[in-house]
Amino acid sequence: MTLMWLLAALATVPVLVVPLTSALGRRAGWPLAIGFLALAAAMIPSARDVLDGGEVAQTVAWLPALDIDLALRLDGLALVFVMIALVIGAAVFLYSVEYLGESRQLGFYLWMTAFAFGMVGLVLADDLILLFACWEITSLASFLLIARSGSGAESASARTLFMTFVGGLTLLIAVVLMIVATGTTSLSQALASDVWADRPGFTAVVAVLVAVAGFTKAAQFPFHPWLPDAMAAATPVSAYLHAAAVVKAGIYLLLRFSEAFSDVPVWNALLISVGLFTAAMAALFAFQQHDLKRLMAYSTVSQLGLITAAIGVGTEKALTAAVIHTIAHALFKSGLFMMVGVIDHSAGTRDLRRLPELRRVMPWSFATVILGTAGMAGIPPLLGFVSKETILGSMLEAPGPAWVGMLALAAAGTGSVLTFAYSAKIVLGAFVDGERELKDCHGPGAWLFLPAAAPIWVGLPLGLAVGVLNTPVERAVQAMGSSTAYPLKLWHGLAPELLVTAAAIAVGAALMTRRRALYRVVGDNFLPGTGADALERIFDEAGDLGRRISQTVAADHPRRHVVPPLIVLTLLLGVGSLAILTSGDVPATQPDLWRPVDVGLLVLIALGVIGTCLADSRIAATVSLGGVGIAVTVQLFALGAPDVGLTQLMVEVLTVLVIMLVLRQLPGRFGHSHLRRPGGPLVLAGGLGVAAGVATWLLTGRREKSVPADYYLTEGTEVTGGDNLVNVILVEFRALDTLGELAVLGLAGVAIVAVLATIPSRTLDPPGRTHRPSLRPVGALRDPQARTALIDPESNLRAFQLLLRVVVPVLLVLSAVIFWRGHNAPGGGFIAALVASAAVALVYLSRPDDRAVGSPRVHIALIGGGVLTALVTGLIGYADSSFLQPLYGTVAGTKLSTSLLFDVGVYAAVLGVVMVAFDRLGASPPDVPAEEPAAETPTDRTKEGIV
Amino acid sequence: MTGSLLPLLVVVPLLGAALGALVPGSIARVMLVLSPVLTTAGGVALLVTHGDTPVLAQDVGGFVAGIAIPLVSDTFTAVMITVTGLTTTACIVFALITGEARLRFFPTLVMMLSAGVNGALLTGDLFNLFVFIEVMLLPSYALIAMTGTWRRLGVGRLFVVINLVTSTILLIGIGLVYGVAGSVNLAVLTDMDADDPRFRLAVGVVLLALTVKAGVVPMHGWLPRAYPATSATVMALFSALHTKVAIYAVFRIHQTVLDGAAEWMTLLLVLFTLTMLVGAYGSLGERMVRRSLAWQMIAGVGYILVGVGIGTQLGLAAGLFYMVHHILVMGSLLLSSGAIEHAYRTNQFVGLSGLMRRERLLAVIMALGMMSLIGFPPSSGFFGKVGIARAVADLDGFQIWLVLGALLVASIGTLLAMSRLWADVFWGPPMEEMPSRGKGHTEPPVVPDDTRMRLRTLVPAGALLLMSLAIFVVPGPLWELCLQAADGLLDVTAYVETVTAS
Repeated sequence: MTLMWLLAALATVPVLVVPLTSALGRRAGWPLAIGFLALAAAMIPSARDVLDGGEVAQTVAWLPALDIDLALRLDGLALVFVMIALVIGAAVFLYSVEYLGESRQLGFYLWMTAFAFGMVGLVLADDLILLFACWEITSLASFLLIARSGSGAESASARTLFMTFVGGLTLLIAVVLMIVATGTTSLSQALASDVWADRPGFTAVVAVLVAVAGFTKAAQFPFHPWLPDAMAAATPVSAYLHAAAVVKAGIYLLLRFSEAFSDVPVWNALLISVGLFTAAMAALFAFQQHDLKRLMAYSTVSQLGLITAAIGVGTEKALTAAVIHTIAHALFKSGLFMMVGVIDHSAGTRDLRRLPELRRVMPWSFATVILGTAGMAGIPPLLGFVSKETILGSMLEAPGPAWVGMLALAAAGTGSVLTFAYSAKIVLGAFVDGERELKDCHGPGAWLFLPAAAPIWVGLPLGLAVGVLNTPVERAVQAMGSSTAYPLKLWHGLAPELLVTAAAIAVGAALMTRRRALYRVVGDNFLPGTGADALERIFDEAGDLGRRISQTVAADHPRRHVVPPLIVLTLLLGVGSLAILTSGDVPATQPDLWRPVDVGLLVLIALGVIGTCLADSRIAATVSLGGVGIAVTVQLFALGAPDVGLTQLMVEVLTVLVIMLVLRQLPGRFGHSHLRRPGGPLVLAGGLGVAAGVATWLLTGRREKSVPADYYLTEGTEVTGGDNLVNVILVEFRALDTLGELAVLGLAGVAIVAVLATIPSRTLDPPGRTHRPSLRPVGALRDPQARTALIDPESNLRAFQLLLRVVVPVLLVLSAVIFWRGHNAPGGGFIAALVASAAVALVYLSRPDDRAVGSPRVHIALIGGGVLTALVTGLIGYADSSFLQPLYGTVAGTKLSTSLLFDVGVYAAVLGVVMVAFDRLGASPPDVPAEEPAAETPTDRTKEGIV
Repeated sequence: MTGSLLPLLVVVPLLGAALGALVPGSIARVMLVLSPVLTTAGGVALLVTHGDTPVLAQDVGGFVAGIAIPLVSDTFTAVMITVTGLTTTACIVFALITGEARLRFFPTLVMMLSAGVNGALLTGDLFNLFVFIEVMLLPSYALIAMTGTWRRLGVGRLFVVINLVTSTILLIGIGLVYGVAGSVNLAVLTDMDADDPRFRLAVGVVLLALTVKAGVVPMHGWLPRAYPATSATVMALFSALHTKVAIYAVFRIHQTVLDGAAEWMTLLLVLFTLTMLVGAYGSLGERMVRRSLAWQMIAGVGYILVGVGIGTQLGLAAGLFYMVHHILVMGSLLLSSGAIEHAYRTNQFVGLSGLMRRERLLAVIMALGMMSLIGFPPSSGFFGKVGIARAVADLDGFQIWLVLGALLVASIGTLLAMSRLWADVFWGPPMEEMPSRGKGHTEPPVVPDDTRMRLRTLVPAGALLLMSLAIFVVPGPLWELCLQAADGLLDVTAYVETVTAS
């Protein structure tokens, strides 16, 4: 079976789990176990190749642009881990059938198989990115497995995810640095690269990043708290993840990278010190536990510490030791975890203080647990003894002066004493000591017991005939770049490590004879808090930071949000101008840019702006704003732009009118609060004004006529047949801009209707207010004539209405003339429409009440029709070559262009939008019946809670 | 596809908008669906065309090149049109399902928004870009104030004011560019001396306006305030369109006109990494689903723009890839939140609980969406994150650590924010037993206890999510496109030649 098929098969299993569990419920464990064993068996041919000294590799391109491949490689090291994942996985599935509750258990099987896929992918990956992807999959799957174990496990699972995620990130950083430095994404090539020898500084950094990643998964200090936390998960999950798989992913990573880093001092120092410290610390914690499962968890952390330290030593013997202990630990610890489940099932608790003398009802379990813990404590002739001996022995080979090795051995020895002690505590606490009566306890069923016991029993023959493991272990060690492996033997003679083991057993046994006193001395927990508490504190701090960040912008007033861009703009203009001035490379200004009238207008505009800002009354502000507009208009005329000036003038007039309509609904005064502390705004406004002024002075008016300007002046009339360049630019050269702005303008009318339609009319015009004159006089209006004018508007307006009979037709004719002559003289559709709008405005103003001038359908038809006309005119251009290309023709002796039609569109849309503004904002009762009932959006009814 | 058809990408949705205002609602809604579908089809046609023709251009009106406004498409444009078209389709389908599309003129406004987006993506002229951004904004002013909670009206004002100010800055910048260069045609501007401090300042003002629109720190505050107050549909639309068009323009202008000026790089990288960090952690401080996601939008902007900060082919491609990923995933998450709101009338953490057991499909979609946002496999986010990290590793010493460090810290922030969202909304007791039902809520529960989501409300979010997953399985084609797009940004010869020759 090729590697790709293996991985594909494992990827398919989670999919199969869905029908399997729905058909078989928890018994889906049976076919899954068989499937895993079958996959393991199918790997035997490849495994044989590997054991013969070869390797099996297969590559399928995944993301060729980044050189990322689905590259798989089976070597000695990968083989060990693949077999652990598959075989222990099968045992756990068998066990789960009996252990789990009688329900579908979809989540359990789904995530367990997904996890197996991730794990096998991880160890087979020969591509750095694939390695990282599988690493993340194992993180996720373990998170999901813990999270599904009930509400108590949720926060624990989040903590686990956090820890492993941090490790994933350091791995990602290490991986990308490696890819760039070594120039390859292939794991095997990257590890064999010369970079590691050539760039010691860089190597040290990457080594630390990889080590941190490994530590997070392998639960090494200070990342260990997640593992005991994760005990909230179901026992089969722990047996697989926390004995055989997820933690071993961390070990695998460290082993895999030791090929590159085993000579890097930082790597050695970090792994040895952290590993041994973790081993001793976790062994002590394990001894303190009463909950068998938590005890096992700490014991796992401790054992992993030993392995980590051995990897840190990095010699052939040490790596051999790490590999063999990984195997041994996977066997006895997964078995022990499952045995804890057996005890839990039989006695209803796994608290050592509440367990009776179980040996009386479950002798076989008693024997099995003794065997398992003996392996853990390193008692001959079990496999655990061999592996632990090798580890202890390898400590002496730690790099550096001899005392380092002695110290390491001493530390490992201390850990061994504690290991013996807690191993004994398990056996004695669960099976020997105990005051509770034995009733309610029963022996386990065979199918629960056998899968749990099998991995433990295997340790005995393997220990006695450890030689059979020599070849696989040697291949694994060779995969890490060593030439040979340390030969494994049950009996190595009287080596120092044997003495340490003997001493550890002796001291441990001595201690346990006085265990009751010892339990009291060691106590429960002498630390102020747990790792979980510390993590929760970090989460809280991060949450506080988040709230501070979101609070800094927690305001709906635009002022708060407008200030930052304006400050940045000021800085940009200021710094940019300074840079220009210091570079000294500024072209001279063009002549004749200064005229006296500009100064006067500047003063007027400035006064108008200041007046607008200072005004407390809304009407005063509007008037002042209107003044600014007029001054700008004058400036446009002064610059010789009659078209733009005319347009500006009409726009200003209509804007003021529309504002007045809106003001009817608003309070008369702003009630300016910011004027009391004007310092900040003044500084910002002044600074921005100066910066913008300087920048304008530096960047404009310093070049010859631009190419487009020159073109318009010389060729414009000839190309378009129009004499009015402003108009032909608007409707021909840059008709696309005009089309866009036309849509903006027209749709503004639609937008007004659309937004108002979503607001119930009673909110806008409360019933009591509708028919009162809503424009309240500003200030006390005591003049009786003025009062009469408001009370009796009819007679007041008579003269105005008479006047309109003359003015309106004149305006309409004027509008038509302006429209017609637009192509050749100042005028055009936009101005013409504004003139017509002025007629509409006058009609509106001449009314005694605030009735609408036109029907709502007319407005929308004008707007929609206008935009449509412009678009269709544009499409006619395709008759020649391009959208919006004007076509020319002569009708009755006059040269005409389709752009005239375009201008009709402009005319209609502008007129429509002005009418909408008057009728929708100025008319009292919104008399537009919604064409269809506005759907009530659910969110409408949502109440805003915490803001 | 030929160059002369490019204007149709603007004209067709705009025709829809104009007609939509005139015809009955049911017909308008048919056009509403057709318009983004046609846009997407146009985008795909462009992608196919760019396989052998790198650039298409059309001088609108048939005037001389350099005078006429050019509409230009290259791979970058085509990718953006396709992805925004797809996401718009999903949003519109969602609006139809929830009934939001029945609001008066909703179809017209959304089609006009799409027309503006396509125009802004296609135009090769700065002033025309301004116009099309206005075309996008005007309907947005209405859309933001039409749907959502009552706060939408106040927030609508914020949105209008900030965008008016920004548009003014943009216009000032374009005016200054014209003042210095005498042209606003991008192809012509490539001839300018990118080292001239006057030219740089002018373009800098344009870029500043665009970064305000994109929500770059420290000018980001309006975005997480304004967007969540409108409806989920509109927020999803804005998320996919507004900030992304601004980012597109930053990529385009910074690379083609300024040649990716190197000495700003550190400053840009600092700003963009800050954007990542502030977005990621700001998200953690919110107690509503869509507010939290709004901050994630900001974080995403940081990730994407880091690509510009790096400025290499790989950097630009990684930024672009991240943008595509982010558009899809953000759309999926926001529409999921919309589905929650449609059924449960709230997106506040305090009003939601235990949805994992109650709404299985929603939980799956949102979980995968969040995983994608965090960057876990099997989702597009994985390659998004890997791509950015890989591109960053090409930088020089100090910058590597700045960006990779920020990537690490920001990713942790995003993870924490998403875990918290998940814990508050999806874990916890069933809705009926929520503790919050007692305190502070004197009214009876807003929704009956037997409320369940309707399956179809999850279809649009699910569809977008499937695309994200598909990108993980087959990332090659999209990466190739992104690399091709990056090439087009780095070597503008084909762009300039096509525009000036058309």
